[in-house]
Amino acid sequence: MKVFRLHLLLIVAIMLAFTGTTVFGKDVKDLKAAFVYVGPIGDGGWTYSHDLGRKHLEKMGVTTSYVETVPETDSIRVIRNFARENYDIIFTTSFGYMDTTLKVASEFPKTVFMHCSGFKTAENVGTYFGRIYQAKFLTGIVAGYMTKSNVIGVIGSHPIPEIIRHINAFTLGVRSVNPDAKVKVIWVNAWFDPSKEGAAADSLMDDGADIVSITTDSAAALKAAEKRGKYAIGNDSDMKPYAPSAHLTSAVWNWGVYYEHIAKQVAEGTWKTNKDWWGIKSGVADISSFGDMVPADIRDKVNKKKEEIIAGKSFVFQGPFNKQDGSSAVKEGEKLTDEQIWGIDYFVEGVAGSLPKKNN
Amino acid sequence: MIHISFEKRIYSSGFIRMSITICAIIFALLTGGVFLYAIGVNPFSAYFNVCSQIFGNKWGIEDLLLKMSPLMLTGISVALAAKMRLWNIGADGQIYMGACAATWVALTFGGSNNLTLLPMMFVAGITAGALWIFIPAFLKAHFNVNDIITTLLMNYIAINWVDYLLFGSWRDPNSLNFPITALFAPAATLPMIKNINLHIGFLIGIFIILLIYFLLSKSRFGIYVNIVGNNPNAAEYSGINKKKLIILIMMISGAIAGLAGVIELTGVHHRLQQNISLGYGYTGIIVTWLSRAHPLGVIFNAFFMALVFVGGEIMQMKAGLPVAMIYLFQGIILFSVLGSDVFAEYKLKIKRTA
Repeated sequence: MKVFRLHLLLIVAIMLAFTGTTVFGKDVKDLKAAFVYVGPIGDGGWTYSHDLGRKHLEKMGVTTSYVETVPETDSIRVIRNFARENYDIIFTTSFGYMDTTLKVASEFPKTVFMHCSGFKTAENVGTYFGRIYQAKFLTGIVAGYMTKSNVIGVIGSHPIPEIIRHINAFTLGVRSVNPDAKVKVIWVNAWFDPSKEGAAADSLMDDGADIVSITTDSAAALKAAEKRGKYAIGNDSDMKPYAPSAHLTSAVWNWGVYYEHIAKQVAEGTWKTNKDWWGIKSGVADISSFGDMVPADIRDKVNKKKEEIIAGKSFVFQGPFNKQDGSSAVKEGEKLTDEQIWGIDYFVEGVAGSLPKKNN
Repeated sequence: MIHISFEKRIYSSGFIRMSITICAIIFALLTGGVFLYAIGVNPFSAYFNVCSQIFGNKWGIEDLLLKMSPLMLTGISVALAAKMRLWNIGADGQIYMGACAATWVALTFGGSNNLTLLPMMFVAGITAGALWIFIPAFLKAHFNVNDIITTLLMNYIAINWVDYLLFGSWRDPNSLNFPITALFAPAATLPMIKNINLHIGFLIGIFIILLIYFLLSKSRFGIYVNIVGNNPNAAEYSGINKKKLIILIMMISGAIAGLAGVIELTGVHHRLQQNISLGYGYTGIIVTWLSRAHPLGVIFNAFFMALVFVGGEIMQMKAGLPVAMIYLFQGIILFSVLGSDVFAEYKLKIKRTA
């Protein structure tokens, strides 16, 4: 199938080269792409990183528009309005938009919808996400080396598999270089709530954490760490400017690469519903530059690990590692499948924190 | 020397008030236009876009009326209490408790047939809204405890109670830990108005407002309410049971907000989740204030506030305005409309003195 698609692309490319105009579909410059954001584009994190991707499309000549700070309960009108305005692609960038995206997509079968971080698809709805857990693993290695108290705090947003996966990858990174370290988790049950995030960072530091890592969208926790002379790890975008003396590194997104790929597919008419999960190799997920306090030998080790992951020699969720209660999760020589990584619903050993009880 | 002073109007007619409000809105649009111009957006084309988008399409109006529905109910809920000089700042909490009770019905009796499930949800939601305000109402009537504080604080209890259920036993196992309940059975869906993409909650809102209007203006009950509202002492001398009336009015006010919760739940979301009310209770206070607690004014001002919200979104889409600009805009509109009140009460006198 992939080979076939490649052939098709080649043919299209050749035909384009000969005629100089588009033969199938339209030019990327005729595309209209819309973005629905859950936070403000100035959040410095999640939404900011998607908006950088949108600007990348603008530079390619795609017409774009966006609405920011759209509550999940109000999202259907915004998504529908974009569809009515004949946008070719609509990117909805929050887990909570999953059902509203599908609902609107069923009313506009000719529009392409791309929902970020969900799991439901339809003929005209694809989902996409990035393997930022690979970057989280690398930031975990930095934290494992840099901690002195052996307590690292993590601010959890929502206890959904995505976040559990990220906390696990981070913890596996920490413990791969520092088996004595513990990762404490506090849930704030919000994506973007700077005051709660800052307060959670404070209580983690009160509890002995000397490094705070986040899974939320704002840099509030980094500022709180800087105030107390502790270290912090950013999320979604390079958060160094917010707290230069606390910032060790950040796990960052580079959505432009992916959005360009999708825009070209839609323009060419080759787009088909998909569940894309691009990793550090493609550049969609990455780690930012290091803070000045991170010594050169640690940087080298982290970069080496990154090369190993890119080369496929190293794998984040590879055995042996245990579940939180000490029972074996994955045995020596085995690793989790993509489906298992996607739906992970337990913490790994080394995480101190609880998940909501299941009630089914 | 020019001497400027305010002089109290002896009589302020509805016509004067309405024209002052309209002038204030125009003033706000002009002021907002200056800001738009300052960030490089042509204000005239921005306003034109909003109007053509909303009034040039069937669906633009549908969106507007849908957004207006909860605002009418919270508006009349707050306005009714305001008639007795009571403040129901807790409409948001009553929306949540109403939605919560209705959700309980939907989750427990989901298998019931179409005829019984929806009415049961409405009864549960309305009752929950009324009961939720009973505590502040009782405290106000018997101990004169400040109703602004109590009704406001009850909101936080309600929202956290709903969170507790959403993060706990009501969470949909298929949501992968996201705090939402399962979708309700189709029987729990509010019917739509024929040929329009709008649920009948809109008509319910209009009906409730008219009902309250006639109750207040044409019934003995309305006379009592007006006496207590305008002159509490006179009410006491005339033998009206003030305490009973306070509790009753506040409970009706709470019941209407609870009703708004059920309508949002069954008409829009079809499941319980966070942010069921996007500040509708608080916007209801603004609606009441703009309409000076007149029931029919509530309809007009709910429409206006919905226009501000939906229009703000369109400005973002069309003109690429940041959301902060939209908030600023909404602030300017409210500030000038509420500020214009002074001209309804007072006349501006400019005198030349030697």
